[in-house]
Amino acid sequence: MAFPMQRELYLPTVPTLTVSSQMHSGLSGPSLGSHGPSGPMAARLATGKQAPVAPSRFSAASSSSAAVTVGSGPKTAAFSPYVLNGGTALALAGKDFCIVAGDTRMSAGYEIHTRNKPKTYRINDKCSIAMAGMQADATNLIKMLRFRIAMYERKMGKPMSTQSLAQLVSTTLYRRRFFPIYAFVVIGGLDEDGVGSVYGYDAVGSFERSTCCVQGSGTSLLQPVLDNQFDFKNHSIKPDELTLDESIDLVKDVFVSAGERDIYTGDSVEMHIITADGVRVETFDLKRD
Amino acid sequence: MQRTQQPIVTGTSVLGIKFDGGVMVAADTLGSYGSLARFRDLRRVRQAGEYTLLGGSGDYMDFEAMLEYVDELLLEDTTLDAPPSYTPRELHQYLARIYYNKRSEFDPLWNQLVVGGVRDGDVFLGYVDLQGTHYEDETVATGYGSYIARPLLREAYRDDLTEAEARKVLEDAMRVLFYRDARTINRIQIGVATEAGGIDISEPFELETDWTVGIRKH
Amino acid sequence: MASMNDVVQSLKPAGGFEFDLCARNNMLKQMGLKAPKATSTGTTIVGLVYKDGVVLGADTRATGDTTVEDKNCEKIHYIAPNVYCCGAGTAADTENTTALISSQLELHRLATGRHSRVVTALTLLKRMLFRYQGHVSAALVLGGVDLNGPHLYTIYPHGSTDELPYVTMGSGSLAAMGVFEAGWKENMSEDEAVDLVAAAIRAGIFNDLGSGSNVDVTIIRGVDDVEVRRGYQILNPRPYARVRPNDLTRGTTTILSETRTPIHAGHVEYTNEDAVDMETSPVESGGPSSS
Repeated sequence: MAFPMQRELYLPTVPTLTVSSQMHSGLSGPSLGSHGPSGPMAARLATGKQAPVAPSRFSAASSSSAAVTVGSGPKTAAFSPYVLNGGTALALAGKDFCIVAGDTRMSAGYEIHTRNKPKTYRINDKCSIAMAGMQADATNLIKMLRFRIAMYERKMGKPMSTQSLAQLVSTTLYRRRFFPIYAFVVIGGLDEDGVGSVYGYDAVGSFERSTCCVQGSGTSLLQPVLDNQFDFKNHSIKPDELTLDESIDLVKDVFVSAGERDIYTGDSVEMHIITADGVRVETFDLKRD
Repeated sequence: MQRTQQPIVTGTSVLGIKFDGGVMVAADTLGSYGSLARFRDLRRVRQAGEYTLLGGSGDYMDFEAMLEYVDELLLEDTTLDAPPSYTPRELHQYLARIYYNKRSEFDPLWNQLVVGGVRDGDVFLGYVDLQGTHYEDETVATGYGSYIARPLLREAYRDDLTEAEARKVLEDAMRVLFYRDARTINRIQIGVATEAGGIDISEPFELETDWTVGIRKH
Repeated sequence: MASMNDVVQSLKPAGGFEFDLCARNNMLKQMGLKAPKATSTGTTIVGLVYKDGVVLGADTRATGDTTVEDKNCEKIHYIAPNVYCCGAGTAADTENTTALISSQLELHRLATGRHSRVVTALTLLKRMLFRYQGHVSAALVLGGVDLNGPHLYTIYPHGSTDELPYVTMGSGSLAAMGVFEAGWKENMSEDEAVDLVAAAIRAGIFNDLGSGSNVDVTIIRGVDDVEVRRGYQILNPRPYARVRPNDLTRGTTTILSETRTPIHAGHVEYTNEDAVDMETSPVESGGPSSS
């Protein structure tokens, strides 16, 4: 292998969670949650030195595959291994149920690749995974996970619990700390007591259990709404917890809202409804513009 | 080893559309060297195995390298006396894995591929690109085709589109691309895959064009 | 010594843009400041010449980065009674540029007593855009009918222009141009023209993420013979509304402390102590009676 050393030089610009006090100082601090994988990596790999930030392929004008040319002869179009394919995924956990949902639009730049590529993956009778971010990385991640889940099941003779899966996902993501998997995972399922549980991740494996978590391009729109309307955070008078039907109603409403305001969320939603009876799949339509 | 960090000789858009009982893939035959129209007879719609059409845009050398990967797979299959050739769906998945692995090694195959074919009544049309992005859909387009022609394909698509209608849709879309994409040539191939007829890739032919359309008259 | 009048004069805004802070802003940018992003109209806009006039079309989505800022904005701007202009690019630039030129043309009409010509609008617009070297990011489709017949132009942000029988602009321009190239004919009827324009805008709305919502159409047949069809096609209604009402009963937000500040109106202070109960019991005697 000729390149691993240099590959490790790459400092990812994918959004990761930061827990430090030196985060934002004045104008030049690191930007938390900055979007889009700008790629100094390709050029840096070639030279091994500091390289100017390559133009993001995440813009409509530059994403034609043909070489950008000025004058005579082909001109360099730096390769970026990352693309953002957009979309929103979320999971909600109730007392005895869990909902995992994601829209089915897959896009790049201003272009819709396809209107029907679900972001939700059924793992077993007790849990599903949903992923936003880069489709190729997400697909690869789910393949790696499925393989390791199968190995686990052979070895242990039982399905993997949601909690174990949560740790497996974290380990799998962190293994690629210096060439991150650009997928934003959320797991939803029932824990060993049959209680709904949700785990949300950043790109390099930091994770946390919660009761509702949104990932992807609609995060900033939907997470505050769910905090307020599902968890009733900051409510002095807390209404009764939402029932399964009320939660489905809420999921539909927030996806429709994201579809109104986020250009990457749309077309339709695939929703996995997990109860003691197993996983039920439902879909509903969003706007296609 | 020198890795492909930019495309050299390139092909522009490939279009694909499903019709009732099959798929159809179209591309022109130009190989561009930057803005130079360097090669005029590059065949970018190919057959892989018995059931699959492959259309490629982007770097032509990488496209041919990809075809060799596929040939290796098929050869291995034959020597092992395995059951008949891979389905289009399987090849699409295989190519997605190859392209994703190459991108992960920072040694991309600089292509956007259209994969189409029919096997056991399963009409398949899919897309793979240099980052390993892949999907299947009723219509597919690469390069400028995805901006200019795909809206036309989406508008024209129906479940019960006939082969003749699909051909007209693709020819019209290729004509539009010839008018608006400067890396095209007026010489195209159309490949058809059906259950009964297998794979049929036409020889290159010329589209009729009219450059007086849309020009100011005074 | 400067008189008061000089000071007042110096504070009055001069015409045109203000560039006073450019040097400071460039310095801040070098220090790493992220400048606020203006709302851009991702946009599909088109124009088409038909037998008796010009049809202009636009979508109605305005975006700021990846967020939809306005779901039903108006991108076909009035220039003159016989001239309209679609705008793509930075919303503020397209709105102000078209408004400015519209006002100059109105003065020109009052001074000359003649209807505006489309070329006049074109010349004023391209001069303005060229002067600002592309920093005024307005990409325009200008259409109208005057004594010389129908005219359709595109104007690019740097000030270059083009005259063609069918044109498209904005992020959805490729999708829309695909439709035009496939469907355009010479001497189209008005109905055919409006249908094709709507199809081109729909191609942008449904295939380009920078464009969305509704189709607006404006048909210009001649001076004062203009049909502005705002919301010509409403294509994207909200597909679902929540059944369960939001639970925000009184007391959801706890009031931690409360301060009441009396309102000052002139010299009179109204406070709670001064308040006198309103007379609400019926008047028993005296006063005017209607019987």
